[in-house]
Amino acid sequence: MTEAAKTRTIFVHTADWQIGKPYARVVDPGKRALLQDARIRAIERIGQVAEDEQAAFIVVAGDLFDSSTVPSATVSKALSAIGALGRPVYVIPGNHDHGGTGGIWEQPYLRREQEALAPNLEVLLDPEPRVLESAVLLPCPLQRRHASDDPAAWLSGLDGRWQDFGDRPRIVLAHGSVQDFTAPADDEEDDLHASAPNRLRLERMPQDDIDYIALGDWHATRQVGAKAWYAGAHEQDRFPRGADYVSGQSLVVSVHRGAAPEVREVRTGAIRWHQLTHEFVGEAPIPAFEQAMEQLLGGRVDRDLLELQLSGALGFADRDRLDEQLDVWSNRLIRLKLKDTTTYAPTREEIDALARRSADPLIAQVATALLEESQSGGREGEVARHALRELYRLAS
Amino acid sequence: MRLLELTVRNYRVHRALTIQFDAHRNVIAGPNEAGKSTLMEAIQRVLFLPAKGNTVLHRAMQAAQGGGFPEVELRFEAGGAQYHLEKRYAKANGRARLTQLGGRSFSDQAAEDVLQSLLGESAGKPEAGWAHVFVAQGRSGQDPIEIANLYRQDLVAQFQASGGAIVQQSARDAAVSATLAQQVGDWFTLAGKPRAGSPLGEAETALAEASQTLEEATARYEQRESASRRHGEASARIEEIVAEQAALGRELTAATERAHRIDALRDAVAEQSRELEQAERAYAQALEADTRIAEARRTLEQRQRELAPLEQAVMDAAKGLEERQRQARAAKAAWEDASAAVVAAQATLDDRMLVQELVGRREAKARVDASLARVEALEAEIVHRRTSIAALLQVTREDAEALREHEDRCLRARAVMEAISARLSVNEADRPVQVGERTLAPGDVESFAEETEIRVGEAVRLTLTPGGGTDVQAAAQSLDGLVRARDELAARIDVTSAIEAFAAADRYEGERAALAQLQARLEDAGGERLRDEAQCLAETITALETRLARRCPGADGANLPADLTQAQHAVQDAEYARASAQSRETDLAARLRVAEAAVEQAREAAEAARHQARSLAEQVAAGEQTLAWLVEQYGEQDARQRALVDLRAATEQHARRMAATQDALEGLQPELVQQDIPRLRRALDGQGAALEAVRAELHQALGALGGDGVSDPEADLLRARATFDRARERADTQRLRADALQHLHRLFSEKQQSLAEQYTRPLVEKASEYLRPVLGASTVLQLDVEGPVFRRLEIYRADRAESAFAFDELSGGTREQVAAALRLAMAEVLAADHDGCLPVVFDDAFTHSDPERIRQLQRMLDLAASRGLQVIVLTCAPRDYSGFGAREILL
Repeated sequence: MTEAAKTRTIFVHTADWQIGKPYARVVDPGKRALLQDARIRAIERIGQVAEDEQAAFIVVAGDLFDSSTVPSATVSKALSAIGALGRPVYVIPGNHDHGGTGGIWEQPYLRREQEALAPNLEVLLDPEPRVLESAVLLPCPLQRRHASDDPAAWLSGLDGRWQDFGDRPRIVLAHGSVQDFTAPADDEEDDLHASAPNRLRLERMPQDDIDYIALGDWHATRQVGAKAWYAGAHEQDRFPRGADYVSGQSLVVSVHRGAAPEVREVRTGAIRWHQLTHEFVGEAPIPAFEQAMEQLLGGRVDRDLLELQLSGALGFADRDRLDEQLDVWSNRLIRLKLKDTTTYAPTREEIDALARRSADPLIAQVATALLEESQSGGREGEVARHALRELYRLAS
Repeated sequence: MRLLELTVRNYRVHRALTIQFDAHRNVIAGPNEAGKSTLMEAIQRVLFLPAKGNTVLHRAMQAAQGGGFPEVELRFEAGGAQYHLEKRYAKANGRARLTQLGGRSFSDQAAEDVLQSLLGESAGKPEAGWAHVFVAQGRSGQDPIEIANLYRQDLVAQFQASGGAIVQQSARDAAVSATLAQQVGDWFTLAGKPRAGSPLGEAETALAEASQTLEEATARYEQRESASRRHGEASARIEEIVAEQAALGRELTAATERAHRIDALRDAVAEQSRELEQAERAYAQALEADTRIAEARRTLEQRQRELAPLEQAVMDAAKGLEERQRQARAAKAAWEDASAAVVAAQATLDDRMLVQELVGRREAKARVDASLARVEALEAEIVHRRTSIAALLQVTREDAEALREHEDRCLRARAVMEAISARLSVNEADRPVQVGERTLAPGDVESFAEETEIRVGEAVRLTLTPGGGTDVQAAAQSLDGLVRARDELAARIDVTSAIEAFAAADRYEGERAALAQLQARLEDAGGERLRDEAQCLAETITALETRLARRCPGADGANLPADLTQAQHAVQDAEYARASAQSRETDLAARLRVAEAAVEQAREAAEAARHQARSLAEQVAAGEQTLAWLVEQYGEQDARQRALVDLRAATEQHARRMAATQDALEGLQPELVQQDIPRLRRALDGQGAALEAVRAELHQALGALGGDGVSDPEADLLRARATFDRARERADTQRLRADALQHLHRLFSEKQQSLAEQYTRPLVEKASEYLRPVLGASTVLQLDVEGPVFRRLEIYRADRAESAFAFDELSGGTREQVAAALRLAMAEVLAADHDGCLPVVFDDAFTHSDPERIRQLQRMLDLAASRGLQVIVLTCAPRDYSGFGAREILL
């Protein structure tokens, strides 16, 4: 045991890089590539943080890659970025990049490229202590996508070995959900592995023998125990799940054997994911909406993603204006995820323009019938409202 | 507008004609070619064809005979005033003049313009102006829909004017409706399917493609997932199998070790078994020797005990034998005596039979001798008879018969001879008659049997041939022969005639018959045989007597029985005596054989007793010898007992050892171990095969798991899902829009339909009213409207089974009536613009209607007239309209 090892150890805790994430919901291939590149570029920022903090090493608590079939070109790009970090990177396989057969870590191509581009990367495939100069890593790798038992169970069997680690801080690396904190049902349509999470039982871990538990799987930063933290994805990859959902961060962790860890959140992501809910009400609903959008996004292009929920009701003209605006925003944004439940509510003028049209009795009669139908619910009302709008366009 | 008077000049067939119209009902009658249609044309032309002009229409109006330009004058009421209209169709110089009675007058173009304003905007073209009220000949049965559409705007205007609430679509309404129809047509096929190029069609195609892509991506992903699952399962299975193999290997090792221990124990058991066997054998041998000695002793004593009675039995047997032998000898002597008695009885019998034969032969000889005496008497008579026969002529009856035959033949030959010979009688002769050598004198008669020359004198020479030929000679010769034969025969039998011969023959043959009789009797008596028999008997008797004398020297003839019967009785007695003797002999012979058999049996019994006794004695001797040897061999009783105890103890010790070893062996369950090893080997083999299979599965799964480094099935699937969701969203949007368009289109159509129904209703009701007098009270006419246009005319008649008839389905007559009703209805509606009256002209319009219908039609026309219309009927059959009550104008 050297003197240095007795001092605090600083490392960077990251997780869920999910390099190669397809972002299938993004229609435009260029924008898709932009998001994919962002996840690699964020690695550089992790490196900068590590450099700034003089971190001894960087850990990735699972899901470095998005799947076992990430294209080779992406693998090379990611390994090159890791190689440039200039310090050891320790990674455990997660559910997306499990360590079993058929997993990405077995690929000969990856191994060759790892050797060539990222010799500083060490994949901890087996559940056994990795004793470093400044710490002991206790990896709980996932050997398959869904582990049938607790991947951290092996720690309970280390009874006689704890003293071997001396004063080195003991850092558990694990990937999965924890008992008292289960990720809310993820309705994100871009994840095939969201269901059936791997359950970690933190309470069964020998708490006194452990100094920090570096968790992965939950994509937002979150502390789930005195010593247990989810770092969250280094680059945000989905719309927030609530006000306290902060993603796109890494954790700078300072640990000391037997002491509480010191954890600091550092932003490493560049892409912004927004959520906006807007209800159209009042006399001039569009300007208010435009203002809100302007406030949120300014004039930025290809930097943001927005989940927009619209409700309320609009007249035909306003609806046309909204559609034009949405077209603009969908071009400016990397992705506009729109949940639009706005209904047509023609203004008095619009109604009069159709139904009180004495010169065109047929149009007036049809419009009157449609206005009546549009009051009913279900498909009939919806069709009537659309028909009314079509009539408005034709008659204008 | 009402017509008052028409005048035509130089108009086609009409040079000059003026007609005054009734205000309501007119029938213009005239035969064909009288110019009725020309009058209707003239009204149309003067109203609608400008006077100035030289068109085809203008030229057609020219009179056939020439004589000036056509001129038409029409007086009519319109707009509450009377007008006088004059037109002279003089080509470029055509003149028009319209004069309002009591008002202004207009000329030429002004006249034309005012006229048009009086007639209304939709008057129509000059050649077909007011086509709805001028029903031309031959067009009365045409579908009036086209005409109705021509005046649709006017009709609607009237309805709107009269009804007030009835509206008509605007131009924008029509434009929007048309655009909608166009859009719906662009979006959907006639069958209601989305068109391929339409937004909805494209969206649905894209959705189908996205669905396909999603399906494929899912399949690829699932393939990989499946491979991953299979790999996981295979890995787990391999671990299980390896663990199982290790366990089985351990079991096999243990089983093999146990098998070795079992083998060792089995060897030990085999060795101990051999030792035990040896010990047991030694003990058994000792025990056997002891037993044998005791047995030998027992046997010896037993044999010795058995020997004494056997010797007594030998003596008893010898005595028995002797007794039997004595009895046999006595039996033999008795038998020999009996045998001798049989011989003596036989000799007596032989003697008596000899005597019997002798007596018999003697009696036979006496009978033969008597027969012989009778034979000799017969022989003497035969000799006598032969002597007498020798003295007789020996002529037989055949000889006599032959001689008579000869005599008969001679007589017949002589008669022939005499019949054929010529006879010459010389009755008178002057000259010598020389016949042959002989000369005949008168009175001489000469017979000639042969050719004879007769000479009479010298000069006459005659040749006489009897019978005309030479047969006379042959007959003579035959006669000679026959005589000679008869004579020879008579000479031979020594008679002279046949009669004599027959007498001699009777005598001779009588004698011979008597002789033959005697000889036959002699033959019957068997003389020779009797002599031979007598001879033979004599010899036999002699021989018998000799034999008797030899056998019984004392016997002689006096002792012999008196006759054969006595002799036979004697023989029978002797035979009985011999049979008795033989019976006794046989009985005694049997007794002898029994006695001899008893002797033999006694001899064998004695021999057997002797043999048994001898054998037993030998056995006793041998037993004594054996016992001595055994004792010498195995020692005396005490020594043997000690050895036996020692050997028994050793055997038991060996047995205990072996039992212990066997227990150990059984404890190892060798039979189970024996099964365990192959079972475990089989199981291991099975596990090995399973491992191979699972490894192959693992390998296969691994192969399927390997990616190509380019494609990412997960990403592909996610993208396919996203694409599918977008396509579905777009398809939903487009479907909604399509539904909206269709709905809009439908609403427009419905509203248009509703409008159309509103403005057609008055017309339809009026038309129905006109039809009912003709077709019945339940008749309803219906006008289908599509958008702003009349489409279809139908008739409903509640009294008919069929619900509705389209216009073109009606009969020719009904078509005429329906068309007329609609025209009248239209005229009635449109008349509102013309002071409530319009003239309606029917030019031979009901040619297909039957007389009954025409009668009904008059009610229709009368109804029209009563409602203000001016009805003008042009017809060649005015009587048809006699019930109309019209002004009749005859051309």
